[in-house]
Amino acid sequence: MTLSQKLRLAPLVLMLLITSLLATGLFNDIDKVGKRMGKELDNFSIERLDKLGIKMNRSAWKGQVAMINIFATWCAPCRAEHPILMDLARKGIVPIYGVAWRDKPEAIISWLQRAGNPYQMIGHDPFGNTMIPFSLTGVPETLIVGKDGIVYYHHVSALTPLEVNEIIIPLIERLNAM
Amino acid sequence: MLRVLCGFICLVSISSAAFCLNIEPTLPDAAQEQRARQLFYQVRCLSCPSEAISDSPSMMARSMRAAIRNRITEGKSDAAIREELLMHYGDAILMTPPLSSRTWLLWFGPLLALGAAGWVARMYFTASNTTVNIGKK
Repeated sequence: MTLSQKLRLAPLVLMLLITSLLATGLFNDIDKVGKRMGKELDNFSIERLDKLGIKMNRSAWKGQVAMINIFATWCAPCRAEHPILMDLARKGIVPIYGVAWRDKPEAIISWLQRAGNPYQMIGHDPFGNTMIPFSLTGVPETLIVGKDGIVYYHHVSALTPLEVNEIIIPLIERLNAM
Repeated sequence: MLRVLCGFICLVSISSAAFCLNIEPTLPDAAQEQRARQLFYQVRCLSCPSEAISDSPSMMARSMRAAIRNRITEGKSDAAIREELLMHYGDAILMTPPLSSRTWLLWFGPLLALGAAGWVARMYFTASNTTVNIGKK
């Protein structure tokens, strides 16, 4: 192959390189992994919805392996993942702490009365103040914290049964054994 | 009668625009509000990454604007707020990510691509000229 023929192939090679770079960005699931992984949560303070007048902060789950689920009743994926949370709570796999994000108290109470309450404690964040401490990019998001307060898992978007069975439950078992 | 009807239709059409207005509580101190607005232009919207939070009516952008205003009233500097956002969301949270070992390709990638294309074009035309010259001989 002459130099001229090789050079004729150069645009094709470049195009393939760029396409593969873009395809990697398109198909990787990095956006589904939150930014809190491996870090301790910043402290925050919100009102508890289940016990009015009392604050909820990160000391709520201090010293225990816990799941923190940030949800809202106006968010369809939150409603979709609710049966999964109910199942986890029913089996007593992990204590679940709920943070109701930018929602109305009456809507939350009415929803939990109808669909069941999987939460050990519910905090109410009507103005979205927990956004930066939890590195939220939307709702729902779910975090698993260890006994040391470090976030070992931060999932963006709704949980799926496959993910719970293959990642979350084994992780909780490992963290409990630590 | 027709005038009244036309006037009513016009009023109804214009008033629907009021639903688009997004009135947010601003900071009482004008200088602090100005600082907040400057920061809004620098922070990327999380649910609409192609725009800054200054331009977005989304709930995530509104929450971020409220969080930034809160931090300003708490007395945090612009640099401290930017640093906190970088720590929680990474480089992509800023509309102009800082130049670092992880972002150099983002900054210099287009220049490199342009250089590579120029080099290929030069080689291609040089090779074509050589072929033509050899052919003439």
